[in-house]
Amino acid sequence: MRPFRFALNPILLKELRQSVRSRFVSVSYCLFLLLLVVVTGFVVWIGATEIHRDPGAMFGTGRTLFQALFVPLSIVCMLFVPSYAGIRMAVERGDQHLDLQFVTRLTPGSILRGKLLAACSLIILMASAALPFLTLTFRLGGIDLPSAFVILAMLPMAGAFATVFALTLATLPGSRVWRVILGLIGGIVLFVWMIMLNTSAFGMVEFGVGSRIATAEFWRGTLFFFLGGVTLGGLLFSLATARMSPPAANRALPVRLWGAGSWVATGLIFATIAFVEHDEDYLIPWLVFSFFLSMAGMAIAMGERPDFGRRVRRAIPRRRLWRLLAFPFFNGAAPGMLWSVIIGVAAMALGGMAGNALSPGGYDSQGIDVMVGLLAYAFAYCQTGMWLWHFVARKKLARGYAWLLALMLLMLGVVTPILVGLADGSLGRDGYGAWTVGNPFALFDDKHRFEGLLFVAIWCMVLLAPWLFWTFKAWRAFQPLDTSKPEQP
Amino acid sequence: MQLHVQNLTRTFGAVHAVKGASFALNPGRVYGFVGPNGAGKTTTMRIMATLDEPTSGDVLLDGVSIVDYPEIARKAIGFMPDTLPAHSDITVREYVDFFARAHGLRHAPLRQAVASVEAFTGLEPLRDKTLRTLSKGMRQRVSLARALVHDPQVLILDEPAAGLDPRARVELRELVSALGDAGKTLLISSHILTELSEICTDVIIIETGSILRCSPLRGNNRQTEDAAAEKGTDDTSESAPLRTVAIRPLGPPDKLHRALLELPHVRQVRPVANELHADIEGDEPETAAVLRLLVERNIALLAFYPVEENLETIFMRVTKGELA
Repeated sequence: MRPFRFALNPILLKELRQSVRSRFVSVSYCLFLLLLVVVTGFVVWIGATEIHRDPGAMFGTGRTLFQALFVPLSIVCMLFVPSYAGIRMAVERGDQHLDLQFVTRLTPGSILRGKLLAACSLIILMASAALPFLTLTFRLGGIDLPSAFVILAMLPMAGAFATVFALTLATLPGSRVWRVILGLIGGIVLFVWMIMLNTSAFGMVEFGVGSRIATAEFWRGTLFFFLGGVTLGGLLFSLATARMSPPAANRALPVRLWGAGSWVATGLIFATIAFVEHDEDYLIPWLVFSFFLSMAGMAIAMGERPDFGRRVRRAIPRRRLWRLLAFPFFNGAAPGMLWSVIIGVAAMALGGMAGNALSPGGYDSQGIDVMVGLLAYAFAYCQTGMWLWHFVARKKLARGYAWLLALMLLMLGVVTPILVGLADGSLGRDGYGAWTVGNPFALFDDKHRFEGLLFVAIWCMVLLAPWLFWTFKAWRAFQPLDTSKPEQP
Repeated sequence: MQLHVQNLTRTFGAVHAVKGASFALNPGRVYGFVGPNGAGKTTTMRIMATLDEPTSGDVLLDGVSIVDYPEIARKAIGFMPDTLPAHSDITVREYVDFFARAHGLRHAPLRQAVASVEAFTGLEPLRDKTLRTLSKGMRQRVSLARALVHDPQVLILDEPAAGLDPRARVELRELVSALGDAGKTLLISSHILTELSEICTDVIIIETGSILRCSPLRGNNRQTEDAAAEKGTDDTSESAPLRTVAIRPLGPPDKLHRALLELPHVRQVRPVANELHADIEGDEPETAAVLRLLVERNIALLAFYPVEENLETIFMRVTKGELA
């Protein structure tokens, strides 16, 4: 029997070794410690002067100090470390000086795991530097232990999620200018998340988690955020893995597997809660997730190649049934579109059925109607955009940017009714309704929902036949490579 | 392990960096890859090292496409780029150790591989120094150690001697020669032709993205691979060797020039100073036949001798100094 030997991720080992020797990291760590000392000293000094005036204020010093320490800690964990990891990754993957670690036998997944673990180690290092100061807050009073534990457990998880987000952005292709813009957008998103984390942490400190920890509401909320974080984090991770895989590889597989797996898992969890609680509203987050998953899948599928490369064909199962099941999970525009349609249609159908089962007769289907309409619009715009690219813009626009055409059509559909309404003065009046049919957002308006649904239904019916033909054609081409014949590159 | 570059093309916008390049690298040979700046050497090498992807064409490693299966190439190919290692906060030992791990080595084989390349590249005394503190020559050695640590059969070295002082250059040349002697297939790009000619068995000349010539360097019997490359094939099995002879006539060369052009086996004639250089297709019997035919035609000759071409003359003759 082979003895078990623990093999450390080479990237993690390298990153940690570099961090240990890096002046930047050690100087940042020392500055952070200094900041914590200054903040603690300042808050304790202010607290001491307050106590002289109001002896009751002493009970709030610990809480104030915790909040004051949490701000720099969250900046480090949610902004500094993820940005550091993302920027390093972007530089290493630069077009001119691609780091040679990307041409070793390391898989994209192991590179990303190593980077993520290294960033998490840094987060833990920074958090542990703050722990003695945070312990002091408990001694000073004004904060309960469950609140402190929950907040401190939340922080590394949020930091890990932020790091996955930053690493995913770093793997996206583009020119240097585009990458800088992307970095700035990413920085803003991280900043917003950091503010949100601080707000919720402050709320928990103020109201105390201890009194709610035994309630189902608390655990449902925690489960919701945990599931959301793991699902989205996993999706981002699989997207980054796909981006780093060779273009000839079946890049879609990890993304679609994770997407479908998390869709099924979250569906089961939310359905269980909905049936236990007899409340169909618990299905809404899952339906919203399904909607965005399906829509994103369609947009991404637009940019995928129509044919199957040799490498992909080698992985196609030989048995017909397996091949049928595998088809939506393989690279290609048609499988991608099919996968997205299956996710979207199945989610809406299951959501409707579950809603009826939970509230027979009293089920309000308006929410489902809107989502079905939005999904139909997504399909119609993406499919029309794709045909437009195929027949008109093929030579001028790279396939990867075909989604821009769908976006332009959508903008046209949204803006045209407003312009027409402005021109003839019907904007805001009832007669203006007929023009809203191209605008998916008009589905939220009860007055014009029917016209919108009817219009998009007709549009989808028109697109259905060519789409089915195109998908069937792709299915016919979805054949395993005959390895007995010599290959012609 | 044979590497076939097949009709490789790489474009960057409107610029054709590589245009249908085809050549083959055979086991145990050392290939010099030469061409003017911007000729497409680095782009070709980067594609072969799976750092970049071709616009069209392919590179086959024992028949398997490395464009489709870069993982396979990464096991078998070691690449030393023209840029030095970018990591600075890491010691030589840690750096080499990382790449050994990245190539899947663990435990005893890992330690053995790291120690072995450190010894081979003379990095043992520097193993605990950080890369930041090393000279350029030493960092080149680290770069070579990194490329060698997984014991690849094919080594691609892009400008390994650039910016090195004379001593470091000699040492690097010795290392490369040792690798050639160890049976590795090497492709080395360099601008220092005299150095290349000392260590290379074959030469590949590239200009404006096209391969102009791919032939053995020694023995004055260059293959007509340049012609094959022009045709877009790499099959030179049926091509005859090409020898150049210098012929000095007694008197004006016009009569000799005309006569040479009428003779079989003579592919090209060009005046060089007071001689004519004739490219003869074939080996020694064909050369002897040309001499015999000239004598039979009563052309008075003062000299008839084979021209030993060095890399520099081949390069100057083949290239035109154009940029892609």
